[in-house]
Amino acid sequence: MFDSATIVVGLEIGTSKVCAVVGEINAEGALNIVGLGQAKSRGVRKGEIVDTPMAEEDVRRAIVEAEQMADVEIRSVFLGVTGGHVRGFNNRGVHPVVSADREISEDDVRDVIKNAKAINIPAQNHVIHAIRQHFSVDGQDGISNPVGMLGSRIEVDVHVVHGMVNRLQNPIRLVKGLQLEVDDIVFGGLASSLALLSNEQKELGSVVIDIGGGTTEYVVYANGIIKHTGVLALGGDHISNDLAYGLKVPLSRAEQLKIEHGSAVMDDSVKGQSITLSGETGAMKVINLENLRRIMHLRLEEIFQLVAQDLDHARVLDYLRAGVFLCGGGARIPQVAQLAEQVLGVPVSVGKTHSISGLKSALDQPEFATGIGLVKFGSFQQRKRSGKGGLSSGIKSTLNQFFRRS
Amino acid sequence: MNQNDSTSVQEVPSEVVASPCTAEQVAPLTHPAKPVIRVIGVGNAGTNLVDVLVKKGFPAGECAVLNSDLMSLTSSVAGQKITIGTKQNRGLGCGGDAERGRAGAEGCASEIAAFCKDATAVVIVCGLGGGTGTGAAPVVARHAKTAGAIVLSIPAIPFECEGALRRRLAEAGFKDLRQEADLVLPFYNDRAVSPNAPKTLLDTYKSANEMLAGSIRCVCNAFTAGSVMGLPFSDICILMRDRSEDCMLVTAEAEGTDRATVAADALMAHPVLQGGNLTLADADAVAVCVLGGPSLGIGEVNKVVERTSVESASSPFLMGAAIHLEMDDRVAVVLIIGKVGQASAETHRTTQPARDPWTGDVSEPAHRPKSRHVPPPPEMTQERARQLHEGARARKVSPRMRQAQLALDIVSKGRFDRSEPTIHKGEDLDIPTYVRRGIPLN
Repeated sequence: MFDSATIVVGLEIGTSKVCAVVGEINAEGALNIVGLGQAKSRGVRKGEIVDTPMAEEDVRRAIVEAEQMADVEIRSVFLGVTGGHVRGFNNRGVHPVVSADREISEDDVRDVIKNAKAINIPAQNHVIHAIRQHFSVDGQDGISNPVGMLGSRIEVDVHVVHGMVNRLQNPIRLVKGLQLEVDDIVFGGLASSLALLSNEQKELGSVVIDIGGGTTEYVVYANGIIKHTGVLALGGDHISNDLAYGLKVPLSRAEQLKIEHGSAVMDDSVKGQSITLSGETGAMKVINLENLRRIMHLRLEEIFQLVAQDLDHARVLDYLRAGVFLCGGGARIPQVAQLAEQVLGVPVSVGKTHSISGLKSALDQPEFATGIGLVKFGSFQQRKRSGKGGLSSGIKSTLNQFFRRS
Repeated sequence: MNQNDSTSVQEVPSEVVASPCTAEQVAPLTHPAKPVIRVIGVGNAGTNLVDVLVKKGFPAGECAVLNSDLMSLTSSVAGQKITIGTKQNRGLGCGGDAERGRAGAEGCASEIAAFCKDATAVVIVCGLGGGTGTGAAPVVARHAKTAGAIVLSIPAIPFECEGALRRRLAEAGFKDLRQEADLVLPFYNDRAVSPNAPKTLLDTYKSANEMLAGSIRCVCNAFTAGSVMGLPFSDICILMRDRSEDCMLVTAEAEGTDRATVAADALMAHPVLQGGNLTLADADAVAVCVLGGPSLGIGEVNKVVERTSVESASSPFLMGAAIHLEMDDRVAVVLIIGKVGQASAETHRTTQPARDPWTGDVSEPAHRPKSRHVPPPPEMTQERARQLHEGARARKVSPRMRQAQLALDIVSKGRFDRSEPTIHKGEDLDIPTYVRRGIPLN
């Protein structure tokens, strides 16, 4: 039944859409996307749930669609989380090597990681990820696995992504209310980066900017590790809202205008141009295309400026040799890469999902990067779990899971 | 960065001078870099102000007064006097009828245009709430603008105790003026001089007039002086365009050893900033100009700018410094702050809800939140204009390009109304970027 192929499901409760991606890990361990379900999201603002019943219904619809498409029963999901409260920072742990021969053992490595994860964050915050970066042995940096090396002092940096526990609980409770288990929660930006970046790109140094409906997440990789993460509670919704406000049109119309006539840069071709809309009442409304572009351009430019400021502040801009990859619905805006390039000063392109096979239609779309990334994250976890091998440990982990779920 | 700064400094004088001079190829030959600022006083209050200004040493030749009241006009010391509406009211004033003031001013369009010709900027001073000031000032502003000048208007808003009718008239005039002038910096008598202060009526008006005249003088000096760190008038106009709902001009002067600190302190302690509804901390746009003699030091400029910018860290900030020979060893600071939001008149209303001595009714419009839509000045039919003023040119209905009026104070956050605001460095990012940056839409 489940033995031949393991099912991994990623669920993203986004601001503009809820998306469930079903992946199948076959006997060889390769990941294949077999199902995709999506629903328009109505109960989420800026990446966080504001209307639980609505969001619940949307999640149910997306899950049902994914189940039908993949022809499986979804029992548990890897849940993407985001929101303006999510923060990332780096923390360092130190551990002295005490063994007589000064050889670094696995235990030492475990201890140093434990030390690094002992972080001082507010009590109401919860650590979503603590991702190990490089080790440093006696001040020698950039060691990826120090086991077996000689040294007296071992240090490690971890990148910690944390958020407020109550606000992280909301989507988890919602999913559990639908009789689904949550395998793990994953920061949305991290998931997107997993979907888009190849190992080489991570090694060279790159940024994934996921411009979603309500939030913009970014994750910086350099030398193969995560250097920096961040969330801005700004996204496509803000563009629509600005347009609705500036052009005095309803939000739904603004959304439509954004999609049909939007562009990230102002060019001379729109000078003095206008669009005539016919309203529901039959009244015509003339919209100045130049204003539309200007409003959009300014908002997008500001988003990239804020990201650039933060990257600059974190001093990671110089590491980006592979460039910047955009995803999320915002990556669909014409010429958005050109604008980002102007602001960030590094090569920018719209990201493509890597090394996953399956539904081509899903993989080509930038807005599904997070969903696919969640599945990929899930597949890593599964592999880790199954990789530990042995019947006893298998049972143990199942039991553990059982207890954790209850 | 540096490169940009230096180029903008070079551009400043030419830009300021360019607009009127290209239109009329006369004056620039003698003083190509010297901007010309002319002051027009409209109505009785405006006439009084211009008189104070001239007494303080402003060249009378650059001043004009425009009034319907012959008596106040004859006693004025201004260089040019324009009488309006003599045919209807035989030089006895407008009697509080703004329509008459408007029609009268339309009749004198050629005189206004002649006076404004060659001027870089025209400052219109008037008292709102009466007939001539309220009605004629917007017309003067329009003609001055057509003549090619940048129009700055500094209207005095009447005291609360002057009554609801005058207040309402003043509000209407203020709106008209904002439509016509490039920049309107209202001077609230109430804010500057407390009506409860133990002062005689004469002293109250005198001190208000002097304070206002001092401010006007500083502003004129700031823009005519050879600018070192340019703060062109046009920049201020652009900065304030969307933020002038509640706008204020504050000036302070000082001399002596510690003049910069003293001036900055005086600025902060200014009754307008202290007693007013708009403080530096909640301003949405700030422009500071430090004015001094040739001895003005960079440290002094820095001191003043630091002092003012520390309170308004998150808002757009313009600064400039200018040297005026006349300043000797004095230092003056001109501060212009603007705010997006509730009209100041509204806050006046809330303090004294619907106390209407004329009608006595507790009128509901006083409670209704005021719409931000600024209606265009009432158009007159040709008949009405003819009735009011024989031979006056009927107002031309011209579809001019106007800055679109955006509903700024009800910044309905639309979709983000109930969500947690996205605050970044004190800025609410949910508000459209172009609004926060004050970028105009056309």
